[in-house]
Amino acid sequence: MPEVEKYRVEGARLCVRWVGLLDREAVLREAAVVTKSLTPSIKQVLVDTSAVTACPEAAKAELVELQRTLSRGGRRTAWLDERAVFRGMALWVMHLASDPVGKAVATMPQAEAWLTSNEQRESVAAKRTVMR
Amino acid sequence: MKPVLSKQRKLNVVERFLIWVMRKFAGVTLGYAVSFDEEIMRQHGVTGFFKFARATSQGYADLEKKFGNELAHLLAAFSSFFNGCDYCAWGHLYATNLIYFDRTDQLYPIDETEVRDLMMMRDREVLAELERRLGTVAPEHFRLLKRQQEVRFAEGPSNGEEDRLLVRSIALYEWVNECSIVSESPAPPLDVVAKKHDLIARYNARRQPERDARVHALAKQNEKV
Repeated sequence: MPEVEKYRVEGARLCVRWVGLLDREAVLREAAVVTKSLTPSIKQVLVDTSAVTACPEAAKAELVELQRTLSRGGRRTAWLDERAVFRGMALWVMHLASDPVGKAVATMPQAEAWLTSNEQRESVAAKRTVMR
Repeated sequence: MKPVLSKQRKLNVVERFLIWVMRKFAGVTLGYAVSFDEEIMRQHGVTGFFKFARATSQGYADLEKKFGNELAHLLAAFSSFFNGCDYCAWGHLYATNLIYFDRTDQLYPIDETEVRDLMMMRDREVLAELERRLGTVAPEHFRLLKRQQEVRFAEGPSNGEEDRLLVRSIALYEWVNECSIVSESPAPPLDVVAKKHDLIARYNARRQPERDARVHALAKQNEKV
């Protein structure tokens, strides 16, 4: 059972940090807490999965639902993890949630840069690809 | 393995037909077809699909022109790797492996079947592992992968033509991985080398003892636990 080590609000930003096994039941439980914390003043969400040890398939589907809630109204999210496997999971979640302004990042400066920008994940990648 | 598609909308008849035709065509001309083409079509539609294909092919061609096919695939593999896309990381690393094996008759120090295990490591541990494996055998490969990571995290502008292309390699696969993330490894070798069936058979036969040893070591480790 993941225990939420930190749930804090910093101005317009909600910071969430999960620890341990993130299974389906855990995601459902945490989603309820996160959803309650999403007051109208929250414009950015930082999800730190650095201390998550595993996330089974069934939990990922629930994360997609949570991401839909997080991204409502154009709210920006950054999922932070130093491990590629969890950044891949975050990208999968954001893609399936059709959230264009969420991003998986590896460092806190990247998260900060993303949350305070107004870029869209795919369009910025496309623009930089065709720029020669 | 079947791709896990988002099913956000069903492809229409024309889109499904185009996918069918393109897979047949790719199979004959390239020796492989990617499994996330449906997702590209789903997200971008017919016109967008072809714009995407043209732009990403050009992006890869520019990498290949500068670095050569073997290294371009390696850069593509690790661009995708650090985005967490095991399908593209596997497919491009498989291509690197085959091209390297064809050129040298030696095994490249990183097996594509290790991709998922390596992805569980923290980024700095991955770089240390790459240095350990490539530092002596292929120092130029390691230098480029390390530099690719540096420019990924750099706040300021990068320097020179090489850096510019490395930055572009990251953007290119951020774009590609947006759709390829719905597919899971294993992937086919993502290069025309996929048509060389004899080479693939020889390569996999040569790799097998090493793969068996890894499985054996893992089983022993689990026994201890």
